[in-house]
Amino acid sequence: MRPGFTSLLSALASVLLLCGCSRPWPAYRYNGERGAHQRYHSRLSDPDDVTKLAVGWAWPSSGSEGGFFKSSPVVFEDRVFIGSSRGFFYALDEKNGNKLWQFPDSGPALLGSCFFGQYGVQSSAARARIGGQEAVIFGAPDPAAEMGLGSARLFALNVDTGKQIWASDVVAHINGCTAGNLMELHERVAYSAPLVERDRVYIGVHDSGDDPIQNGKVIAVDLATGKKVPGFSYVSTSTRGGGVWNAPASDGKGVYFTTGNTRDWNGGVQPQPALNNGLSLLRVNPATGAVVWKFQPVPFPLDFDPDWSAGAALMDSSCGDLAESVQKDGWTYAVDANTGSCKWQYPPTNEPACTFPIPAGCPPSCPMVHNDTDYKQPGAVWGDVLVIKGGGWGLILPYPAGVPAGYSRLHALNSCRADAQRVRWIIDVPHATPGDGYSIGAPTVTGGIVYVPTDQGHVVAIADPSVRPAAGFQCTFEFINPASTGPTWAAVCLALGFQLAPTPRVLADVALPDGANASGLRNEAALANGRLFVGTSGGHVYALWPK
Amino acid sequence: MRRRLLLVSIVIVVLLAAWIGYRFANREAFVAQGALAAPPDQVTFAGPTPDHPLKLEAGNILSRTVYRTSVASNAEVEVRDVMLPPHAKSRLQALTGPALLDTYSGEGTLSLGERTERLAAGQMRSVPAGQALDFDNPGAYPLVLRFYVFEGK
Repeated sequence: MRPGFTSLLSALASVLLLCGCSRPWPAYRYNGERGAHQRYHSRLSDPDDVTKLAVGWAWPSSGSEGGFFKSSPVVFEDRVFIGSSRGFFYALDEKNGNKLWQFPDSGPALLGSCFFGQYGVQSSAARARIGGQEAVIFGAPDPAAEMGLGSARLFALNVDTGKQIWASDVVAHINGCTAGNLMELHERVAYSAPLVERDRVYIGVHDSGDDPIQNGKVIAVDLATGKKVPGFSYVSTSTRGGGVWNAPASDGKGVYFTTGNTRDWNGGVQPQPALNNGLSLLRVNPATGAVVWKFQPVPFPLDFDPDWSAGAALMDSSCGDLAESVQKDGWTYAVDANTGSCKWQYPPTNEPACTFPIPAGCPPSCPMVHNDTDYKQPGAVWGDVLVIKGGGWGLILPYPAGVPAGYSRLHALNSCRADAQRVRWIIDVPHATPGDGYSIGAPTVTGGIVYVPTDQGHVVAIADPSVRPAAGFQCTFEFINPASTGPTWAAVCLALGFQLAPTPRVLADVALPDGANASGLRNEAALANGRLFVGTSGGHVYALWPK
Repeated sequence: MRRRLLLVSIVIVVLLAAWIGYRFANREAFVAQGALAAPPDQVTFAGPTPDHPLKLEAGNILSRTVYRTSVASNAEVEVRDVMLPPHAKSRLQALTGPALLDTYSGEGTLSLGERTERLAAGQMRSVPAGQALDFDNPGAYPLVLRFYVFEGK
């Protein structure tokens, strides 16, 4: 055999083998559909291996980064990319956690001088290809922008060198530092993450603690240059409100996101704006930003600040294209992604329209059911199953009961089943503080194994009962249990119209060494190349894998 | 000729091995199809037991006292939640004092003697003491009520 031919064969075999080995996590929630599903098999999708999950490396290996990680890692090109509240963005070696570069490498950190602009890099990143360069894009305040108060840009960096490819036009403006000042702009991109779709990058704009509430926006910039796309415009209201507190999603046909409240600002209740896209799940035209549809289940008079904060997770299900999310009040929705009509609601208290009626006498006397509560984390999509922190049936009980009870609970919901079969399983996540609205992060999934970080500094792996038998059962209304209703709890559960749901088995419950909060507001465990990556508020990034 | 045949065989074997390796490395993780099996007749409880429990009463009614306090030397206020089963008529024993009834979730009717009134979420009304309360919940989900009972000593 001629040497050239042998080399050719070897090269061909190598290419075929190598191109099958990279399993990146290239964006927040995995990709633009925001389903948080690693579809490829790895040791993290093997239930036997997952029981051996352990911390592999930590960065920094001693001390701490000094800030906290409220953004989530993205992983590609053998690197882990993550930003910190100190205003730096890092590239770490995926294999050993060594720092490869940071941005900025010199000069001031990405922080504004004003309180509203001091959030650093909380926006998780996304992979892109710009002019032949492999790039990573994230949003942050730019101390060089405008007056240096914290107006924000998107930054595109070369993944190999960390050198800036472009800094976008300003996408969120801060032009004053006075709390409550209605003459100033206090816009941020902290809780959004860039969506790279075709030749554009989209980012959501929200405010800083409603101080005061800003008009929600989605901004589109050109992927090649970072310049704002002139033909694209989306604002939530004709006055204020409707902040976009989440990462836009895309299925290639539309851009999907959710919006915050509109009713309470300037110290009290305001009249409904003529344009009110607040408290909605929306699809907009990716070219123009025009609203294609909006789904607004809580009408304006019932708006007691139940921001729709969790973003949309898009599901290509066996019953059609769905956009799914949970509103801050705890109700979970699946909406037809093409029409915006409600497919189901959980708990299904107002189907089929899924909108809450305005009671007689309201206003002025309106029930405060839809409040500033803490269901804010987006769900994970696994086949037809949505795994999400949702309120469940406890929401039908008045305070103090149902709403906080679900804060550390995950529901797996069958998206294409009837209401009576909606719940696939329920679990109260261990090492997550009950009643704490920030006790668990956003779930991610691979092979039916759900990973979730907790406020007590753990990473918990949960097996769908099709992967490992359930630990037992519970009533879908958690207040029916042996302690409250005796040994006939299962019969009582069914008699009251609820269902029996499996409690899935916990495969691993790993304590992170710094013991710090790993759930942030919506932090996720990135699942790439058979490893799990997570940041904590203790200023560490950890890699875990089965050992 | 034999040499060429050998060469082709080697190429095929190498490509086959590479393809198998590629497919193995690219195999997708498990995704369940369809729902889980129905629960067995006898199930083991493995759920939470939350605070503020409800207690079971006759007729599959669930209730709890949320709060009870003296508001004066001769009066008490009790805040009580009641959950009435779906597709059923339920009777509550007479209250110990006049009360405000807040329909928190669900829909149904309340009959007091000859009068029947519709209940809808978000509505509040008064109910008298000393009279049994007859509810009808024709819906698919429980009717949840909160009573604020004012009781004289």
